[in-house]
Order: sequence, then structure tokens, then C-alpha cells
Amino acid sequence: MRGTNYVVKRTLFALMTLLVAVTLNFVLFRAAPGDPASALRCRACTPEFKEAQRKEFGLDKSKLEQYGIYVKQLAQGNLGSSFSSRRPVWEELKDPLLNTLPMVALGTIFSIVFGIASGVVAAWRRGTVADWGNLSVSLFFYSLPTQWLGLMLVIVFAGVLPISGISDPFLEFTDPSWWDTFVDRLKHMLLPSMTLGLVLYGDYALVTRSALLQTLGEDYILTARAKGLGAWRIVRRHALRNALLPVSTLIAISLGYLVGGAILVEAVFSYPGIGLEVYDAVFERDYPMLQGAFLLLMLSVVLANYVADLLYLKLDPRISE
Amino acid sequence: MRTRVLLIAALAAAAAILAAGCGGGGAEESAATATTGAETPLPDTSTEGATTGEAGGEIVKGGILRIGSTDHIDSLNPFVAFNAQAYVAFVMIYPVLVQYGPGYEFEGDWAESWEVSADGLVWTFAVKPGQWSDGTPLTAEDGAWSCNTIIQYKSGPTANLAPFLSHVKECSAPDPQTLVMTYDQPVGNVLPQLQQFFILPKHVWEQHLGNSGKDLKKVKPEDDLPLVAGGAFTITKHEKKGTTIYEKNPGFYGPEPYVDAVGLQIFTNEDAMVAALKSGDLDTVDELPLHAVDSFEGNDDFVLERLEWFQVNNFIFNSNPKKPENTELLDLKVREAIAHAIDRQAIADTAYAGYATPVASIVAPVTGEWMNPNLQPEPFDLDLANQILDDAGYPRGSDGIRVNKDGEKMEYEVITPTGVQGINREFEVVRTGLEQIGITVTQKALDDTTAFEEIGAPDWQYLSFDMAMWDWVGYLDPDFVLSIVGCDQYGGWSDTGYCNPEYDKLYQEQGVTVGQEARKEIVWKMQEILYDDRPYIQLVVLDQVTAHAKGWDGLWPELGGFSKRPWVEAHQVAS
Amino acid sequence: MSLAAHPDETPRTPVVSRRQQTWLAVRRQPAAATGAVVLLLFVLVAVLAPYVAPYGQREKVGDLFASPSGAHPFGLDDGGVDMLTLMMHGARISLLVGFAAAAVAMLIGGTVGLLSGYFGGKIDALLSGVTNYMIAIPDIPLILVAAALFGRSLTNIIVIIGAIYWTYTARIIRAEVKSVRERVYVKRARSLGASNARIILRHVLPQVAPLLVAQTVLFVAYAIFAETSIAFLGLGDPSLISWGKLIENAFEANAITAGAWWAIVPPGFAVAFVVLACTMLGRTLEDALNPRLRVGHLSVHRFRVRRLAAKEQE
Repeated sequence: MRGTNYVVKRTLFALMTLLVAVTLNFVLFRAAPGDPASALRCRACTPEFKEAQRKEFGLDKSKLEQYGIYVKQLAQGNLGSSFSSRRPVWEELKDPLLNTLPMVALGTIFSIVFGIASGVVAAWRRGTVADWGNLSVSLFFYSLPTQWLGLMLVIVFAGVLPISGISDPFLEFTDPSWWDTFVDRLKHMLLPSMTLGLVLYGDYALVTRSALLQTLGEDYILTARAKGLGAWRIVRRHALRNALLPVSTLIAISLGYLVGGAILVEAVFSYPGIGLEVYDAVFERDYPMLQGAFLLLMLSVVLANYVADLLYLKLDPRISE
Repeated sequence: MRTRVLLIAALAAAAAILAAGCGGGGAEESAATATTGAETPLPDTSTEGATTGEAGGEIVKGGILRIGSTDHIDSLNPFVAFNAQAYVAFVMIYPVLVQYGPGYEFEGDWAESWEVSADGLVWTFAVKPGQWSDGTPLTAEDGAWSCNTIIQYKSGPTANLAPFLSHVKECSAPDPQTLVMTYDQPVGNVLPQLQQFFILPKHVWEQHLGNSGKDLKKVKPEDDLPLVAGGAFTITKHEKKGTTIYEKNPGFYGPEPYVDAVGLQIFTNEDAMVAALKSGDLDTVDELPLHAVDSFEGNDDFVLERLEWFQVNNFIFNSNPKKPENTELLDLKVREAIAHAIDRQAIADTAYAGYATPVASIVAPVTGEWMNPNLQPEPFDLDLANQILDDAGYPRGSDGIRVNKDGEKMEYEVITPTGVQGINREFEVVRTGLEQIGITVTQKALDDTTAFEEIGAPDWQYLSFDMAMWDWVGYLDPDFVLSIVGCDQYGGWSDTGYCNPEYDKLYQEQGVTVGQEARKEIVWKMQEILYDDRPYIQLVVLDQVTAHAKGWDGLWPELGGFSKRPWVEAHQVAS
Repeated sequence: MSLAAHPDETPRTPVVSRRQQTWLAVRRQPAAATGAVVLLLFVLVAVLAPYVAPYGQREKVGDLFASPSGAHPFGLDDGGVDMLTLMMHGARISLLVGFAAAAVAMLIGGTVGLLSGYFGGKIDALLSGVTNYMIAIPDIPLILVAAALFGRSLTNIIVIIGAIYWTYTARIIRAEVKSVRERVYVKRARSLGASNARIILRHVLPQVAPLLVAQTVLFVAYAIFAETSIAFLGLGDPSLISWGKLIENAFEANAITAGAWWAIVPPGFAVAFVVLACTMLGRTLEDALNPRLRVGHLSVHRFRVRRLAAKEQE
């Protein structure tokens, strides 16, 4: 069956990409200039001790051997240990990753909601000020630097909404209910997600608008309008379906990238996610952390693209060999 | 190593006095010198923080003190940690023999009293009874074990803490309340050194001596909370970039803290931190960003304190006489000229919003007598600088840039680490000044780790770099900050490649000189040598501004990291 | 202004050359014309900055963070330097990085796409493989690492940005080249015995060039974005002022707490205007030249959506 062929092909591609990514990861960080062992900071340590440290982290072996060890460890699910904290990389990255995901998801929800609303209005009132206006606004937001928009939101909302962190650290002393905790988390997530949502909704607006335009011109739509059916009903029932494929694939793929791309937002809002971890690891020369974080980011991208490919198959049966 | 490392971020409003000081003059001096940009009144810090609510209300017990900071704890393992914030934590959670008290007089923390033998070699401390937070008795045996372990592995695993026990031969605990420390020669600064000697619970840490002690560095107290602590607090929750919660240790040998807990919240964004303080989500901030100080003007809900501090910014010359290139920079005349071409006041004004003061020595004024007052910052005088260079035989080329004896242009790169606040503006002032005397400099900005490597390149031989800019944060005792230019610091702390055997001899001498006056003489002489040889041009010393909400008292900002008082005596006042 | 569909677009026949098409498209679409004008204005300001800027870019002319006034319409920054001057000088670096990085991306991507699409077979498989695999790499973190590892000079930044984003261009050019290759006159030239190089240079490249230019224009926008991101994360060249650096400076110097919004707002708007201009111009060009690429143009810049049309051509 053609469908199966396609799935097999895409699966193989995903796996290959992963393998290449793993290798690239290794090459990038081990082959990079600068002695990684210098990150194993040690005041007034003797050269012998530094040598011992190097050995401990396997930095004294040949690059090929190191690569072998690296791959073997990966297969065992071991991402190595951080240079600065000595703790397993996975342990250090777990929580930040779990912090970033919901924030990015909420941001995507914002962009979908804004985007579809904007796109629908624009398409429905095609050629009018509403169309032009909506597109201009969405394009304008799209053109703003992410961190700048975040800073603007900080200026506007400081004092009204939390502008840093993921939660109120002292909340637990007031014995909160799970609802209180949930609301607290949500409040902290709001501004960062909103920033992402505003900056990215242009994509969804455009995609929705194009998809709608393709169907809204159709005869049966005109008939429906003549019959007096409500605009929203028409749009929802007939036109939006056309937007389903591009929007879904957009979501799938963008989620993959957002995880790494949220770094700017995290920097502005001190949001301790995986982006911020990468940022710190870069400055601390913590190579195992960087490698581990990159791997996770690449994994999410490959996974997301893979899902998008499968979605193509499901939603657009034209895809075959 | 640098701003982010070592020691505490608080200091003395009193410009004065260590052991040999004039106590009375200190208080007046403090009120006079410590002025803030904001119109808030300065508390008279020498009497502040006493156990009666000075701020005019009665003491309210309980509650949680919420501190905001941008410096995070990098590790809870004392053998691994570098950041200042980690050291603040260690002072609070572990017993320390002595601590700095009001006016920077030493007082006992764990030690009830102490005496020195006649030959100055044996120090005997009577230590208070107490318990570790897990109920195990705290005895002198823990002290002896900690001391001996640090000494045993000082060339490797315990290297970070070893300098505080230099010259210690061994420790012993003849009985549970007596700790005996034996030195191999009489040492002058025992107490300042011991203030950073953290005593660890033997029953927890002795299991990690494997692998010739290397396992000590692998211990992760973060994974085993609540920490087994013997000091005033223990850590019950810790997120490296988030919040750390300290709760009272019921077995603490000292006075019970007024608060129930202390929370340290780390911010990566200073604006957010200030906003949190202003909105009441924080009670105090350890270091207010200098550009934010003015925004507190007229705000009566907060008390700001501007304190003299230890951070001295420096301009660095590669002083390795073996450096192959640009040897004209080894010419003392050239260095002198450059020193006259840097407008220190402009640095203080533009880079640090006026919260900095020109200095001439790496030993900060706050250390009191240890700073040599006879050394003055070179006056900013471009004409003089030009004259010196003209006379020394460095003529200007047709493009205005001077050339050295080989006819090469005097153009250099200055390494700057990105971790130093305000360094870009600081460099800009240097650049414009040097431009006026015909020397061109360009900035090479690197992250801290790379910057340090570049300075030491190749391989800690200091043969390649020409100039750099950085800072040093010292202690109240000048020993550490004077040690960094020693010949033995190649590959250690040295950022200059300077090596002067005469200087090193003096350093050793002051380390074992017991008489304060005699030691002071030596320390002053050392600063003179550095002033003349100019491996550094010291630029400015930075102020530190702390802020806290009006309803809090007993915070002792000037003792931060030096004592347990700031958290033990912190309390809210009834309004 | 309708961005997606062009009701009055002339059908593509050999009668109207691609170059003429492009020009017509720009003239007809007010969006593109506006974009071109805006872009030109900024370039003018950037070029003339050293001559028309009111003060020196490192010259302290007043108090730190002084608010906007008659003499200083954009106020002063944390060093007491005139913001308007900084904005003008910032334009130079931002636009330089934008154009240069886009050129790099165009060069690499164009070459890869050209070779890949023209020769097909093993070369295509290899180059496409590389292009496809680069998809997996998260862009901003990679830029971060590269900038941190290889140094923060301007040249490095330009090369890094260009080197990470060439894949977009490569894919599109490849698709385009493939279709051009099947055109009648190319086939004829081959059968007449013309060498590959000759065919590529004389027949394929001119056909593909306008699309390449359109891509490059779009790329300027993204390169400027990337530069602001790099600068914000503290990895820009510290001795140079760009719009991204201005935002970072203000952020580091606590402009928000000091209430100095004028230190943050102008650079953001400037970036937005330039990006908008490039987007409108580039999109219109692209639409005119390749109307099949209809869905999600914006997507090029943030995500690597495989457009429906592009998928069909694979």
C-alpha cells in the first residue's frame, strides 16, 4: 500500500536524522575550540589533580573512543554528568524541560486562537479594511523581535501580573489548595506565553485566511449564504476544514522548534526552562549539559516533524510515493 | 575567583577598624560617608540591629525573610562551590569558629572562647554544645575531622577550602567541647582565616573519602535534603536557579532566630527583582542594581543602605617579562602614562552611576588600616601622559598613533570578561583616554572562562595577552587579595603573569607576622611595590546598595557572609 | 491589500520575461512598493549616519537615561548618549548584518540548490540529505553555541547566521531549478551539446535569479531577527552598536526599572519596520515568480514548514 510505504520512508528518515544529529552533537562540542576541562573549575588545584579530573570525565581518550563511549551511554539513557554541578544531565534538564513545555503549549494555543480568529475575519471580509487591517496587525506583531515584545509586556503588566519565575516560591507557606497552586502557575506562564502567541499568530492568520479563501469562493458557500445561514456556521462547517491540514502541520512542526526557540522569552521572564539552561551551560562551558540539551531539542524537532509527516498522510490522501 | 566568587557581598559602612581600631570614630564615619542617591535616611549601622527593635517597634517573631538576589548557589558542596551566594549559605548552615561582629570585631560563633599558646603555635577553642539537624550531637570531633580532612587532601579534592587552613599542622579534640589547632608557625591572621573554615558533619561526610578523597567532590547535598546542618539553619528546599528555603535548626548552639525561615529567590532579571521588592513579594535585596537606586527616591516604604565594598576594578598589563611581543608594555614609563590617561571619575559616573570611587590599591578602603593611604590614584592628566610618552621615546606617527622602538604601532587588544557589570562602559572610557595619547585599543569580549584562558595562554605561561580588564573581590583581611600576584599563582589565580620574589617573600612574612602593626607595615610595603611595578592600574572600588522593606530590622547588611547575625537577628517590627 | 492571491497577475508565457514580471509585480502591489521605499529609506539613513547623526555615538551629552526633549527626541541611554544617534548608527550594523548574512545564505543555498536541482541523482541525494538533516538542529541554540565558541566578531556573526539558514533557500531553489530544467529551451541547449556550466550560467541561473533575489530579501528580515537575538543573549560584538545591542544594553542597565522606555522602544520598532518592509517586498516578488508557493510564507522565517506545493514537487 502506498500509505505504508510513505510511513516506512518517513520513519527511516526520522531515525537517520536522529543518528546524524547525535553525531553532529558530539562533533560540535568535543571538537570545539577551548579545553572543556577548564570548566572543571578548581582553585589552586595541582596539575595532577586536574589530570585526574580529566580522566574521570573521559577527556583523556581519543576522540573516537570518546564517541564510542558517548553513543554507548546514550543507548543506556545516560546523558553524562554536568561539569559544574556534577549531577546527571538528565536530572538537571528534566525539570526545565517540564517547565518549558506547558508554556510553549499555551503560547501555541494563543497563536492558534488569535490566528484563526484573525484569519477568519480577514477571509470573510476579504478586500475590506477588516481584511487589510487584520493582516497588517498580525504581520506587524510577527515582525517584532520576540524579546522586545516581552519587554513591552513587562513594562505594561509589571505589578499586575508576575513578570518572572514559574511560581511564587513562598506560596507553600500559606498552605495553598491545588487550585491556588494551579492559578499561581498559570499567572506566571501568562506573559511569556502571550509573548510567544502574539509574535507567532501571524502564521496561523495567514494560513487560515488562505485556506478559507479557497473554499469561500465556492458555489455551495454562496448558496449557503443566500439561504441565510449564519456566517460562523458556514465558516465552521465548511471552510475551516480546509484549514485543518496546514494548521495542524504548522502546530506540529512549530512545537518542535519552539522548545528551543523559547530561549528569548525565558531570558526576559527569567523562566527556568530548557532555553535558559542552554544559555547558562554555554557560558559555563558545561559541555555535557549542552550536548544533552541539544540532543533533547533535536529530538523534539525530529519527533515533531515526524508527527507532521504522519499528519500529512492522514489528512491529505494525495500524498503517496 | 572573581566577583561571583568568594565572599560576600556586603560590607562595611564603617570605613574602619579591625581588631586594632578606633571604635568610637567608626560610627560617625559611617553615617557621614555612606550616603545614598535616594533621599532615604541612613541608619546608624553601628547600633542598628541590636535586639531591641531600633526601627521603633516591638519585635514580631516568626514569619519568613524573603531575600532576592541575582547571584545563585552553584553547588551545595563546599569543595565544589565557587559563587559568593554558596558561601553565604555555608556560613549560615555550618558551624564556624568565629565570625565578624559589630564594628568588625571578632566574636565567637561556635567558639565560646579561645586562647593561644605562648609560642603562638597552638590555638585552643572552647566550643558550644549543640546538635546537627538530624539530632546527632555536634562535638569538637567534627571540627577536628573537618580540619584534618581538608589538610590531608589539600592538593586536590579539598583545594578550595585549604587556603583557610594554611600553616595548620593538625587538629584534635581532647574532649567534646575542646578543639585544638596546631600551626607549624605563628600566624597573624588566624581568626580571619577561620571565619571561612566550615565545619562539616563527620558522620555524613566521612563515608565519602573513597578514591583518595576524590569522592568528596562528588557529594551532592542537593539530592539529600534537608541538609544535615549544624549552624542556625538547614536547607529544606533548593532549586539552583529558583528558590532555596532555609529552616531553623532546632539543635543550633546559638540564639534562636526570630524568623521561622529564610527564603532566597534567584532572579536572572534585575528589573523583575526590583519589581518584586517594590510590590512586596520580597523583603530585601542583597544588591540593588545601581541604575535602579534613583527609582526609590521619595519612597518611604524602603530603607536603602549604601555601603563601601570590596570589589576593585582593575586594568591589567601582562607582566610576564618573558612575553615576546609588545615588550614596550613592560616599560614602566608607558604604564605610568597610561595610568594618567584613564579618567577614573568618568568611569565611576558613567559605568556605575556615581556609585564608585577611584582607588589606587587592590586592597579596598573598607578594610580600614590594611589599605595603604599613602598611595593615591594617578591624576587624570592627558598632557602629562603625552609628555611622559614623548620623553620616553614613543613618538607619534603621521596618523597620530604612537610607535614603539621597533617602529610598530602601539595598538593592542584588551580582553574583557562579559561577567563584569559595566565593563563595556568602563572600557569605553579607557579607550577614549588612550586614544588621546596616541594608543589604540580594541575590546575583545569573552565569557569569563575563555577570558581567563586567554590571559593565561598558552597553557598558563602568560605569553600572549597584552592587556585585560577585570575585578577582584577581597576580604576584610588582605591576605587573599595580596596572594593573587604570587609567582606560585601561575595557573592558579594569577591574571597578570607577575612574579616578584621580593614580593612573595613579604607575602610569606606577613602571613606569619603576629603583631598587627608590624604586619601592617609589610602589607603597606607590598602595596607600594605593586603600585610601582604596575601589573595593575586599579580603577575604582564599587559601592554596594542594599534595600529592605521598612518593616524589617536586624538585617546587618554590612555583615552579610561574615556572620550568622543577619539571619538570626532579622525580624519584623510591629508598625 | 491582498497578499495571498493576485487576481490580475499576468499568466506566465515566454512573452513577458521574468525580469519584467518582477518589476510589474512590485509596481502594482502597493505593499511591495511601500516596502521597497521603507527599506531604501533605512538604507539611506544607515549609509549617511556618520554625516547626519546629531551627536557622537559614544559621546555623553547629558544625564544617564535622560528623558526625551527638544534636543534629544529619543532621549539618552544609560551612558548619557543620544538615542537618535545610536539608532542611526545601529541601523548600519543591523542592516549590514542583515544584507551580508542574507548574501551568505543566498550564496551557499543558491549554489547547493542549483547543483542539487540540476544534476539530480547522487549529487542531489547527498546535498538534499545534508539540507534535510540540518532541519533537526535548533537554530537559536546553535547560533548561541557557535557564537560562544568561535568568537563574537562581526564577521563570525554574519557567517554563522548565513551558515545556519541557507537550507531554506536551497530547498526552494532546488525545486525551481528542477522545473526550469525541464523547460524546452534548456533541453534543446543540452541536445546541442552545450556544457553543463554553460547551461547553468546562461539558461538556468537567469531564470532562477529573481526567485533567489526574492528569497534574499526575505532573508534580510530573518538575519536581522537573528542578530537581535544574538545581541540580546549577550553574544554580539561588544564594540559595535546595533539595534539588537541597544535593546540588550537597555535591558542590562535596568531601563525598565529606571522608567526609561525610550531606551527600549525605538530599536524594536525599527527592526519591525525593516522586517515588515523586507517581508512585503520579498513575498510579493516570490508570489509573482512562483505562485504555487502560496501557503504560509511567513513560515519560512520561524519554522520550516514544508509547503504543500513544495511537497508536490518533491
